[in-house]
Amino acid sequence: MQISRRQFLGYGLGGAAGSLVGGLGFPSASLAADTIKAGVLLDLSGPLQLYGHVKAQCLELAAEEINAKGGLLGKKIELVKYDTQSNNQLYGQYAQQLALKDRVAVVHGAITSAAREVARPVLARAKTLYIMNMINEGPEGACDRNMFTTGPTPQQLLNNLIPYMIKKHGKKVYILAADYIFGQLSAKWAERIAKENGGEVVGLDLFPMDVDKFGPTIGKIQAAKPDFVFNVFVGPAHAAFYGQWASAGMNKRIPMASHTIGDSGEQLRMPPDVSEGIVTVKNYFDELDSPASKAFIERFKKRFDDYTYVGSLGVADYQGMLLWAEAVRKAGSVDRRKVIEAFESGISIDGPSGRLASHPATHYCTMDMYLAEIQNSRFKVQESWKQVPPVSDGDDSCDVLKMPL
Amino acid sequence: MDLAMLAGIQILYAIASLFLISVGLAIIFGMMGVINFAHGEFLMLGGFAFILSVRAGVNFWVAMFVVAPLVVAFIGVVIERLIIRHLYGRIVETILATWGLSLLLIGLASSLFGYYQMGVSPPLGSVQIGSYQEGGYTFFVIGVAVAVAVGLYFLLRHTPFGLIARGTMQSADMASALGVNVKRVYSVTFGIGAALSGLAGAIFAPLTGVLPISGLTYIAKAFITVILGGALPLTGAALSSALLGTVSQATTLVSTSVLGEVMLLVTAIVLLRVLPSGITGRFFKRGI
Repeated sequence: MQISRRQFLGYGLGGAAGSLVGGLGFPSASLAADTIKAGVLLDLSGPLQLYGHVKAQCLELAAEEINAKGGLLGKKIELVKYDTQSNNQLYGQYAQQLALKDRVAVVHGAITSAAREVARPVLARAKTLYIMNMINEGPEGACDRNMFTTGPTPQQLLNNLIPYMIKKHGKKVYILAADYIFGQLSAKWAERIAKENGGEVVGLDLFPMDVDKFGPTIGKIQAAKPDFVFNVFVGPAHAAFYGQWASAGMNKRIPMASHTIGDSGEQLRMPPDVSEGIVTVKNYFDELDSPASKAFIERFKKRFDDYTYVGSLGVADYQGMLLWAEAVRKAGSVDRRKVIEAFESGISIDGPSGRLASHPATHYCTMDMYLAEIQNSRFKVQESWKQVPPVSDGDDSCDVLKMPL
Repeated sequence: MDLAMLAGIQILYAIASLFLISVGLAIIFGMMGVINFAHGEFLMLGGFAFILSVRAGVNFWVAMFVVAPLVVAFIGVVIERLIIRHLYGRIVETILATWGLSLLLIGLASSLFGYYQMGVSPPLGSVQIGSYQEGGYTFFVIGVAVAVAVGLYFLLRHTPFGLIARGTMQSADMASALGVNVKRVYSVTFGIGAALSGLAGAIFAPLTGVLPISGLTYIAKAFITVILGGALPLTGAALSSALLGTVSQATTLVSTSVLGEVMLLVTAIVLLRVLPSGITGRFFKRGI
């Protein structure tokens, strides 16, 4: 087919006019719709699907449960999901799409803090509310009025874990961490907390996400003779450490603590002798012996037939959706400003992990924390702390209330 | 003293690892001039063949030394028949075809096996070196590398097949004129290269686990080792593994694993500037 210049111009102008009309017409159409759109950015393929799959399931479950109880402000929640394919670039692209094309009321998502740092500025610029449902490196990594974080911070995780290990095993600690913002800042917090508690850091090694051979490191740890090792390993490649550590017989000689182990249910895939005795602190384990947790796991099993382990990362999404819904109810609107103000007025929900309450000044959350030890591939809770705040009292280094809305 | 010994073992282990992951590629590249971008995926498939058969109840060592190499050799021969055979002598097309194959295999493995593989713990316990402990498996890996090198040397130097294969490598036309079935030699050689890749994949599976993308962590190092080694598959792979393994592991031991990788690359770049056709392009030309 041949297209004359005149025809071509006609098509071009027509197309431009069409998209202009579409662009102008869209907002009013979405306001009139009888659903509330919530965007989801999660890695459902690639290596990070290890975390993303169950997190997406939890968001779905939460939305379905809210809808079954009559929805939100009389409307149903509709999830708009994009698979970010373990590729940080796609976070920018899809965040933009969710904000500008799908016009969602809120975006839940990102797994690594690096991915969050791609999506966060895009959503802030587009004035679209962002909820990050992950364990994180605390307000030092991101202090943002447009974002709420429903997972635990290093202070919630480590203020209890490190002193427990120091008291039980001794004061010399060797730290191993993933080499990006989450690992680096978590390692820094571990160092700070260890020093505050009379501990001493005898070694610190950082590993890019694709390192899966740890022979030299295991040699170095032996040379440094720590009383215990604390790790911030992330992703499937790092999980190889545990097998190599056990293969050298070190798991029987030097105790290990980690606040990331079990985040993808890997304790169930590791041979039991490899994971035995590793200590962790989290805000949720499937093994929690509370009615709310047991009922949640039952509901999850009933809804999805591929249950192996939900863990704290999945529950963060479930509770993140509930907390956002609570803020919307209180605000009586999905308007970003009103929802933020509702969150800052102090709201809370009772979820599988216990009470989750908003912490207005930081936009992180106050939650119950549990310390557990792996015994026979299961987390056995040893101690628990009620309503731990995301930052220490008097720490005002992050105050989002001073930021413009 | 103990620490020096431990460091020495670590360096030997690094050399052995490099040799094992690159020898399959070296055979295919050196003997046939085929650049196999799907080499990493051969290792990955070997790992999956090993882990799945161990989980299905096959003996650990049988799975490692029999099942994994055979499965990957079979896949390799099929791929040679279907794809590689039609592209001999066409380097660019081979790269494209094997790269596509690599992506296809990663995709297939993702949908068939996924990222939720159960781990298999390395056997053999640990060995005491003074006040230090090292996994017995480390020594096993070093041993296998030596055995593979000796076995290949024997195969290529002292068997009729070795003679024919080396002859074909030097001049395929002449070998063909003398009545050698060149296609068959290529097919068998490709199968051997694939089998060695499968074996290497199985050997590292208990240490690192297997993921559909596992091949990507091997491929760059394997290529650098082979290119630096030069024309002779066995001598080249062994020498460049020794050099790169020593440099990278020694750097890792005194600093970090990131710097270790950097040093490996720097060494390779500098050496390729000085020896553009690899180590065996200049020295040890009478090796294999």
